[in-house]
Amino acid sequence: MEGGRLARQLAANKEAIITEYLHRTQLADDARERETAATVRIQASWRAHITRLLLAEWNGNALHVQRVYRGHVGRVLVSAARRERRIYWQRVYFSHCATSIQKWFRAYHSRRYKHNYYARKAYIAAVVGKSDSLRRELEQHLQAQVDEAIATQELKARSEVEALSAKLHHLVSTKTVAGIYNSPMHDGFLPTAFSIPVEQHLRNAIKPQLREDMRRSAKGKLMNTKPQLSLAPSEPYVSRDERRREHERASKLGFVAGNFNNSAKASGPFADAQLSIQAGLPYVDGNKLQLTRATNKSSWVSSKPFHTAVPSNKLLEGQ
Amino acid sequence: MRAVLQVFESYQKARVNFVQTVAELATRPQNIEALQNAGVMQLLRPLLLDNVPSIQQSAALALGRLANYNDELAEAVVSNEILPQLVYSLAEQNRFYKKAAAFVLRAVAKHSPQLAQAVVDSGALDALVGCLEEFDPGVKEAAAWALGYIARHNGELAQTVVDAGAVPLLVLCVQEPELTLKRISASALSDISKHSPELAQAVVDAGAVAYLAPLIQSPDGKLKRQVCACLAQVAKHSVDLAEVVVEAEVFPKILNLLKDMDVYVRKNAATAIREVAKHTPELAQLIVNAGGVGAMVDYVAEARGNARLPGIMTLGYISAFSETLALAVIVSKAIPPLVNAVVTEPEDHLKSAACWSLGQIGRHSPDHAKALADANVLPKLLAVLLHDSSSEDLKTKAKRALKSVIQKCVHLPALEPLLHDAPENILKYAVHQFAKVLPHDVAARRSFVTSGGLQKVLELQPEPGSKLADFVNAIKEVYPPEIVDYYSPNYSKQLLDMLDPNAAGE
Repeated sequence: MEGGRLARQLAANKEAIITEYLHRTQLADDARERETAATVRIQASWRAHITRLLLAEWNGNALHVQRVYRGHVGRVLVSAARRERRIYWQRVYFSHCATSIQKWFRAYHSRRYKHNYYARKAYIAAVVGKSDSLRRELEQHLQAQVDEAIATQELKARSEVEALSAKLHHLVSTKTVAGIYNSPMHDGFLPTAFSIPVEQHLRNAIKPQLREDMRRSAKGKLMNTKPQLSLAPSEPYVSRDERRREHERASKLGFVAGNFNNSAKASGPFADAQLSIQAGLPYVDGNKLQLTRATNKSSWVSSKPFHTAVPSNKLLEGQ
Repeated sequence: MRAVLQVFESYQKARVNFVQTVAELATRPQNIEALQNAGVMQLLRPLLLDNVPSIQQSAALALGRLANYNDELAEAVVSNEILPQLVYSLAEQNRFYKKAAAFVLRAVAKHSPQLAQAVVDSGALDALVGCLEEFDPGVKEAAAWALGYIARHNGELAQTVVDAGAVPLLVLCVQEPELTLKRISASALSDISKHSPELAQAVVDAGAVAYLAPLIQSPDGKLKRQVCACLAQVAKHSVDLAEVVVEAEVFPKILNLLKDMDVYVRKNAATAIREVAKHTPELAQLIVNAGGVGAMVDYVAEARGNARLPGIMTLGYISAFSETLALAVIVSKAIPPLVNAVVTEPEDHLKSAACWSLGQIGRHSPDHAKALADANVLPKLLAVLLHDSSSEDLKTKAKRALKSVIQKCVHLPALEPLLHDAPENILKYAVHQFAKVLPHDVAARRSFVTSGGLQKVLELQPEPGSKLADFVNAIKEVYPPEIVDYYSPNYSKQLLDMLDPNAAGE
């Protein structure tokens, strides 16, 4: 119904409308440029606005995408870096451990197969210790030798003194006559041997020998039985002592190489007998005194006439 | 009849008297000239053939004493053809005559190899070896003594003695109870074995070492001397023989003898130890392990003269083998007695042995060289080297010792005194050591300059191109050029010369 109304209105005002229309068309034509420009401007700014909004959204989206992507990439890198770091520090640690192990092994290997400083040090210390103990032992050894030598020397000296004192008993002093070793001239000192006066030695030394002699004579044996020495042939009477002295001299000449004792005859009944250099010669009894000269039986009867001491004729025929 | 016998008996008495008096007179040296001029040799010779045994024995004894006195009389004995007669009767007669005859043979053989050869040529060896089988120890002793004197001179004579079969009998004699017989047989064995390894092997094969080794512990000094001498002569030839001696359990007992009362026992024991130690490191180590080094050091410190030589050489041989042994020798304080020997001994061969030993000790490593340097050894070796009265051998040994020690010495303060006195050939080693050490050690560089060493080095004007010049240049490179110039000898002159042209120009 509205349309109807509109048509009636239009028919009523047809002229006014046409003039209005032409007026307006004229106005529109006049403003067309300006309106077009304005419209374009409005459209441009709208488009700009919309574009800006779109761009902003797009930027935001792109940022979003980039952000997510960068986060992802970063995480990937970080995890790789972490891995690297882990590997690096592990490697450092293992290297350190390996170096330690190698160091200890090399030390062991070197000590075992090439050179062991501590073993050498211990060896040197052991050698020095052994040397010191050996030195001490050697000192003791030497000391023992020296002591033994001193002891044997003293023993020898004592026995020499004993032997001499036994032989020199005749020098002992009597009640009236002072002996040499007890002389009144010895003012302040007396001759001593081993801190006993020589007098005392002389007196004491004869006692064992006296006892021995008395024992022997009690048994009925003669003193000083020695086997007879052989006599050199064709000797006239020479005393037994002289014979013995000659034998001693001759036997001393026989010392070629040291003093030896014939071991087979070292004991036994003839232990004292020393074979003289005259052994092997015919035995002549030295004790038998050669009181007679050799006789010549043919001269027993003289060829000369026999004269009496007193002329027989004188006595008988009266002096 | 009686009158005839009387004549013979008086003649016999005269002969006995003559021969015994001559024998007695021959004991005194002053009579022997007169006896010789009186023609005693011709008179004694027929008396050897006398039918009275006592005259024979006394005649032999007199001859022996005469021959013993000097070699002219021994020659006369040989030239009068007495030896064959003696040798013949050596087989026949009683033991007194054998002793006297062996005495004559020994007295003739001892003077020279030719006389000993004459004794051998007269066929004495078989007779003497026969005497060794006798029962009487005196005869054995005289025979062994004669054989020893024959074998003493040279290897051929010793070989003839061995070929006559004497060695097993001598070994039997060593086992006899009589001391003098043991001594003489040990001495004869040592005289035989000293010439060559084959002879020593012959002695060892007869089993001598096993019987001699226990005798080391006997109380008799002279026996110990001979036993040690024999073991030394056996061991010196080769490693095997030395090992035979060691296996006879001679160590450590023989070390006890280094402090015996008898000086000669000590010397011979030291000789035996030296002959064992010189062959291989194992044998040297055996001695070190038994504590022998300390004992040997004491021995070197106490002995004087020729007796010191075996001790010094033992220490040298032991140190020569390895660092460890040399270190053991150093720690046992061996260096002071060796230095003492270098300085105080008058004989050159002892000094050279001591220099050699010190060189062997110090040549192994810087520690060893430092030990020697601390004991102030290097200046003493240098003094010996430079001394006019040192023999060539001594100078050579001192130079070698110095060289080997310096080449290992990195302790520079010890080397500095050498720069001032040493001759060129020693100097180059010392400078070489400086050239090696100075590039690495700052403190050493400083002290080298302050002690005047740099100045001394720069004062040397070595020939360009020689090694010494290279070393000096190496040292110069270590220092900044200003210091080198400052200490150069001609620098002040150079500066003045620089001044002069300027002054002339002005």
